[in-house]
Amino acid sequence: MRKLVLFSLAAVFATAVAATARADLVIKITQGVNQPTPVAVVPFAWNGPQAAPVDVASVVASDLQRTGLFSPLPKGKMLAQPNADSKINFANWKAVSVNNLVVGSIDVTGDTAQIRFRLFNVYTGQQLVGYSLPAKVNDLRFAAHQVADMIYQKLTGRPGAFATRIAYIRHDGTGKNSRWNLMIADSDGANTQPLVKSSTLLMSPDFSPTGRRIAYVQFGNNQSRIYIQNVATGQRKVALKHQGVNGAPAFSPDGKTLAVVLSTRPGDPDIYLLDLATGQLQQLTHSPAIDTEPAWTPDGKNIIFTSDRGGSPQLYEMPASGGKAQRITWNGSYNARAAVSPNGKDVALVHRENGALKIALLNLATGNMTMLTNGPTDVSPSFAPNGAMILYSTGSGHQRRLATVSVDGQVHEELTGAAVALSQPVWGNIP
Amino acid sequence: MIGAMWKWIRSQPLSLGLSVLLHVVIGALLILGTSLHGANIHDMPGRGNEHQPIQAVVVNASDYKAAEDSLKKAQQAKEAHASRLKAEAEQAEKSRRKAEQELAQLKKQRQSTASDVASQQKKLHDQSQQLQNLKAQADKMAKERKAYQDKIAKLKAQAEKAQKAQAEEKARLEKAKKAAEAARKAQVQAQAQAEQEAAIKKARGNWVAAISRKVIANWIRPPSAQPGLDCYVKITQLPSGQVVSAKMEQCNGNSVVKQSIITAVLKASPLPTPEDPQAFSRQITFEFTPDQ
Repeated sequence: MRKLVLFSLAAVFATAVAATARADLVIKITQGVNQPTPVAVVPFAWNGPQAAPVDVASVVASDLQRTGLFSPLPKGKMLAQPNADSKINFANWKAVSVNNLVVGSIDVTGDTAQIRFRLFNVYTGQQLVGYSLPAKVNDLRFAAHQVADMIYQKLTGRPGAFATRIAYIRHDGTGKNSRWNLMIADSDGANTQPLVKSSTLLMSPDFSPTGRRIAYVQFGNNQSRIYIQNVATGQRKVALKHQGVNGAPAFSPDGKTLAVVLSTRPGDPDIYLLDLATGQLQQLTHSPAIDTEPAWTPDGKNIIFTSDRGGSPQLYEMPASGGKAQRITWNGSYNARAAVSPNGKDVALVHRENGALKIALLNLATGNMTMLTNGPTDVSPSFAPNGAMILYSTGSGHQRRLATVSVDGQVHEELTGAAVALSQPVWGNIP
Repeated sequence: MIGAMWKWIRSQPLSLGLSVLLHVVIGALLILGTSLHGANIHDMPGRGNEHQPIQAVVVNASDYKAAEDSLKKAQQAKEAHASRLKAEAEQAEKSRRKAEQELAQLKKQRQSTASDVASQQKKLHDQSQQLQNLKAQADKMAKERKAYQDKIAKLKAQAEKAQKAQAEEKARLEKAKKAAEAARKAQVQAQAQAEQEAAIKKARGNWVAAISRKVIANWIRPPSAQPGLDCYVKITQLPSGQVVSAKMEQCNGNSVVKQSIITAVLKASPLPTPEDPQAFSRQITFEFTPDQ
């Protein structure tokens, strides 16, 4: 009998436990997937007298896709093509598993276009952002990047970097026919324009923080000079023309100082700081080894540079006010060409591994290094202003071209398919 | 006949049997008693003999009166009378002889009566004896019957007792069996319930794992969703697994993280259903807490 009671009690207890468990079922989700978010950017309705000069939706979709964070739905898979004024049937979009939907319309009056777009969460049906922005009809591509930035910001919580531009060196021809151009392009590599055309070697472009100016090195008469040029007006001036090497200019975050590399003695380049207002030079490094490729930390307090003072090229960090340099790379025999992320946490660099040059990401806090690319000739990394992507050059000789990689290493995208020598890209803001 | 009666008696309750038996005995006694009374009349041999002469005297006196009358008449006619006397005497002699004969007959008769009486007496005695015997027999039988009845009663009592004991034992066994059966049933039930609970638990485990997999597969984790993030989203679903509502509760993430979580649980709809419907829960709280 006691047994019976016991059994009954046990049964009741079990039921109670089950009931309790049922009432408070909590399921822990400790991981997710690292996949691009599926989105649909429906072709924007075009209400204008002439044909649309730019497929805005396509530019937006490409921008989003290039970040590695989004996978836009191909137009062919769209079950409907609503616009900014349509009532949305979300079932059409759930059916193709897209999380977010962008619809838009462009109304043209004269040479002005009004772009209206709306961004939805397909599963909640909520409109996350709705915006109307004016643009010149002949500048729709740039407006499309702005739309992409707004969408990116809404979906990632971080500013976009599509309405930005890049600069790089284009080298055509060989021997006496060699031509070097400093090119300016949209962040997606489109809309290219030559800023400087030269029959002599051009190298090391760097945007000022606002993007108004660009510093670069030009050789002439066996002499290298550092120039600073206004991007909008094309006006330039010589910043430095010391004897020997004048190279690797880098604007400080406040735009007032230029870090440069000078070799007052042959074979011994050192880091100097050039006060752009006064023209005063301050030597930062004094080692007999090669110190080069200075990069500023975002707070402007430190300089990270490449030095072979330890026997192999490695990265060092030192105060911009002078002082002792600390080695920060310990992994492998070749780490060079630092680019500090906008948040100051990571450094993109060129790492040599088994003879291959790869873009790697060094976490400054942990010292962990992650390979972002596979090489074998990936060099010149430069962060997008929002820190989400890294622009670099890949390939060799006249096959050299530009590519981007997302900071998680997931998405590699070549910006230009042309088999021409494109190198030393730098990513900058648009003023 | 006694056998039949006995049989009948046996079949009757004891009191009735006794009553009938008593009546039979009384009846027998009455019958015998009556015979005895009748016999008493003749049971006085001496008096019977004396009475007979008195009767004869009376008859002779009358005869003598008639003779005296005749003698008076005979004085007138002595001769006729003498002859008549003679005839009378002869008659008397005849009568005397007749009386003697009668007496002899009576004597004989008396003897025979005595013998009858004796025989009757013997008969009576025999009957009495028989009655005694019967009575004794009846008593014996009654005793036997009583003993038998006692025995029967005793046996019956014993049997009843045994029966009762047996019944009690049976009841006890039955009870024990029932208890055992109940216990067994309870055990089986408990086991079945335990198995069912285990099955439900297992089904629930599988179900939770399946749901977890589906939600994980649908959670595109934003870069800002790092360890330390802790967000609760409560969903309500239909038995089909269709998520009908998702409500963000406590969450230390930004709006992008919240969007990603809400989207994940809604996009995972319909959620997998459990193998055992009892494992189903209409409401689920998901805790999003990345561990790396």
